[in-house]
Amino acid sequence: MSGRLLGHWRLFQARIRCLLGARRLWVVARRLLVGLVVAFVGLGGGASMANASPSFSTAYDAPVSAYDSAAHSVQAHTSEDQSLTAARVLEGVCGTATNAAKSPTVSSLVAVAADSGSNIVYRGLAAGEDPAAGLTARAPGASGVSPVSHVAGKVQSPWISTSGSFEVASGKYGANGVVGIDLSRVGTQVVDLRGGFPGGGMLSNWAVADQEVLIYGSVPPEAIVGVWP
Amino acid sequence: MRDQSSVIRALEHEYDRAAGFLGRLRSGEFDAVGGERLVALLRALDLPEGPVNRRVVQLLWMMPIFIEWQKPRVSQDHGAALEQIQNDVVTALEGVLGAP
Repeated sequence: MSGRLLGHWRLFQARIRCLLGARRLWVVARRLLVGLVVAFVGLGGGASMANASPSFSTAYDAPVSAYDSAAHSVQAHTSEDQSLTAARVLEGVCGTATNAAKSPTVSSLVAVAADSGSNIVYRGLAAGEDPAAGLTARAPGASGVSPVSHVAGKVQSPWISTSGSFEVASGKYGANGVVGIDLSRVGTQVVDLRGGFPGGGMLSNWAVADQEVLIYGSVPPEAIVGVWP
Repeated sequence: MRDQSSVIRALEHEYDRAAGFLGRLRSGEFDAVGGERLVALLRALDLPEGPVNRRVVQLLWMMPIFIEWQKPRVSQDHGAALEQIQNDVVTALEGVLGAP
């Protein structure tokens, strides 16, 4: 119960911050609201907001679309975990959207966060990583490096670590900021280790504790759907 | 130490992220006392003749390369000490498992 209340509280805070911090975006969003609702109803509620809003084309389009999509995601989810996750996506998107009004570079970073909330993982950024350029593994050309070796700490690895848990990404690895990544927009192999390695063991326990999801090679900028500085 | 279940528990402890030498090393944390404890544990291993528990081998074989992989994460101040522990681990494993 308390978790659910916390989720709604976080969502409420995120909305307020969005409205205060991105007033100009809200004006644009408000003008489009009627069209979005009509399009959403027309698509039966299952289609992405991005697809339902082909008129987005200004510098504000992606952030506004991402906001709407995340807001839709919040309302579509009922469990406390999903509510909290969706609220965080909303916070990240809104933070980015607010910055987008000031910086076209950041604006271009946020593509469309359609259907975010169900397929999102998080990464605590390493020093020097620039989410606007996407993410690249330390050794993208290395071959034969197993997920076990990566989890064990091999530095020259073609894998990129992410977590299914925002708490892990921000609390343990978030000193340089956190990004949200939409796995459906990642074109390379993804290995989900949230359930550990077959056969278990200590490294498996590490992967479970970190809710680890590995992405091979790189993450394109368009897969990054939220940034928490 | 011949009881393999006790060996397994002791070796697994060294991979614990909060308390084990290897687990803490993964986070870039060098624990000199923990390193001495690990080397002492390996030197005390006395595996029985005949089949060795697979779990014991799983916990032993990766130790040298695991330590190697963590070197970039550890402060250079501890570089020489970590190198020494790695050497001691390899030598202890040679004694436990033998050479190829």
